[in-house]
Amino acid sequence: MTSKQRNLILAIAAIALALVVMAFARPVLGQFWFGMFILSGIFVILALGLNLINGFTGLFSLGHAGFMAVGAYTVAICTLPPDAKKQNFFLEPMNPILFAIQTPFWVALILATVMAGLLAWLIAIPALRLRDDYLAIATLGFGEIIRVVFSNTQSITNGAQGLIRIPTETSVWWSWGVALLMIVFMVRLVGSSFGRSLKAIREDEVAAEAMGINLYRTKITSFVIGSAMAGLGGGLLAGFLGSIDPKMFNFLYTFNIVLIIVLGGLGSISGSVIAAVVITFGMEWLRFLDGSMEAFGYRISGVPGLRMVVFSALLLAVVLFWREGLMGKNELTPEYLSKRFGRRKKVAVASASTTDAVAETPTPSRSDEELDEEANHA
Amino acid sequence: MLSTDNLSIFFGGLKALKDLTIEVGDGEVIGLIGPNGAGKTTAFNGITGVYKPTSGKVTFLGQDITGLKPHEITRKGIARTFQNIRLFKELSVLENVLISQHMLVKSSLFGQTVGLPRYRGEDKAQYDNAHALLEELGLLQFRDDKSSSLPYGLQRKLEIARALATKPRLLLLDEPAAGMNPAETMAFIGLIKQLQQAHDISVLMIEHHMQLVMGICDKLWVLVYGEEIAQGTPKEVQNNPAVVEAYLGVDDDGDIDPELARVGADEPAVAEAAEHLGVLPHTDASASEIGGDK
Repeated sequence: MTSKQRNLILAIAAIALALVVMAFARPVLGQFWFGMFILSGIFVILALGLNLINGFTGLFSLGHAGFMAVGAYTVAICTLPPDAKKQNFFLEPMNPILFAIQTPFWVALILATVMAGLLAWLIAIPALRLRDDYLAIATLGFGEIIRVVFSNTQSITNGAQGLIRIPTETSVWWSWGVALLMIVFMVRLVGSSFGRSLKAIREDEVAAEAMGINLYRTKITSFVIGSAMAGLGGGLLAGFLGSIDPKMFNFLYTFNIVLIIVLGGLGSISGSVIAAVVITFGMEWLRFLDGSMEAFGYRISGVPGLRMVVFSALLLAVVLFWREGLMGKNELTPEYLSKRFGRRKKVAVASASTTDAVAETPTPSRSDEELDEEANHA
Repeated sequence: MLSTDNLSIFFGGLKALKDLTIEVGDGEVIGLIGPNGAGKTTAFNGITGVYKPTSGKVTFLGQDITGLKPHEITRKGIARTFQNIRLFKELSVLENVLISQHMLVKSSLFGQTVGLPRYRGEDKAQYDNAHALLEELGLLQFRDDKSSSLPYGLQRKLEIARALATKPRLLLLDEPAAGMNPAETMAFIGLIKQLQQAHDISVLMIEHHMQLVMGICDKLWVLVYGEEIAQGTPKEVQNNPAVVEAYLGVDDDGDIDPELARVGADEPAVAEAAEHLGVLPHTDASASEIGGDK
């Protein structure tokens, strides 16, 4: 059995296990935490989308919440029943064309993905001429623009009132089913020739371009796919919460997803999945921090948002001491696990290969030497 | 095959390259030499589209490629390596070579993700080709190592393997032998000749090791301050007074200033230049390897 076949069997086993977990999650977790479980599936999708852009392609995008909003509103408008639409739009009647639209949930999800992708494409054309921090600011700006526009288009999105009574169709099968599909999609995408070209751009743009990779087009493709996934996640979120308003999709939402991918490891699919689940549950579990507490005989009155301080501190610690995050750029494969935890078995082999490596390695770091030499000459 | 016609690149008032006219014929190995800041790498960047030429023309295989984007020029058949190695550091040796074959993939993104038969064929061809190239350059045993973990000399070889994977007609090497000792340099000459024949390519290289340039180049172009001061066979260039002057300076009679030559022996840079040109006997100072130009 080759390692390829073994990995395929393991992958199928993992998916089967996930399906079993999904089937029995409700009685085991209870109603409240079961809801968090559904939500964590949505966050997995959102995190994978952002990780494709930030982690694999190395583009610093901060506009994720904007694309989520597009997806969420698309699903809401498509699935709201006519009487709910009438009830929602009491300040100004809804646009008649949008009023007439009525689609099943799955069609709405596809539309949400396409709409977010289209918008991302429009934004990418000018924005992806920028790099690094400039791109981050531009995408952040676009994300906010989407939110502000949605707060003011009364006849389309009902403005700042938001939309209520959205049919809550996002079951665990929808959220985790789509999440599993996206995980498989990401693994395939990242492992393909196209995926390698993304990583090449992340590593060195100049070299990637010199190797015949069309920078601009590849970046746009990656940005559009990642943002479309944000739209899909946003659509599922609308179907999970049942009500949405523009204020929800502010920068904090993007920040949460950035937190997930940084903690999980930029450029790691399994890292994003694990971190998405941990953060979603942790965010709720730490809610007691927001309430009033008693410590050492003192009574501290509740500070709303204190739990976010924990996450900010966590992010700070990761950035300072554990830059690679949970998984680095690795994936949770048998090879990785045996490399990381199966040391004892392979001590002999490992030590032999390290001595070889030491013997083969001449100068430690060339660039440092170069700098020193240059400094000496000058 | 490749020719530049009065290629000039100015950065504001700085004339980095003035009216460069070079020619690379089929199967030739051409050298581009000159002191620091002579515009050699600028010329490379002008040819490969990293810089837009201020004026002049670059023609490759009868096509005008002036002002094309770097990836378009690579697709036309010009591959390059970099002076300060630019590998995809975090990726494996094998992946580095696979990436430069991405431009040859014809499958759609959908076909690649789903794994349609056509892409599977292309994927296998990529792996086979990468495998063969790594074997040819003696890197096969390191295929799964991180490319940045390779020793320096092997990183240079990997850059060449990566460039060759784009199936070029012309290979541009930017100081491929920098930091190599004389024995490695000799071995490297053999490698270049072998690759040139096996892949039926022409080579244009920037190099400082005179030993290497003399041993391999059919023709040399010498640049000083962005201007071409000499061209010809290595022998002609070596004896060209203008070249000697550029490297060492001359006195009024046109001879090499003996004073300068004597002082030069204590000055590593001058001594190195002298040694490279072969105009001075080896001295103790010049014998010490200082690692070439940066």
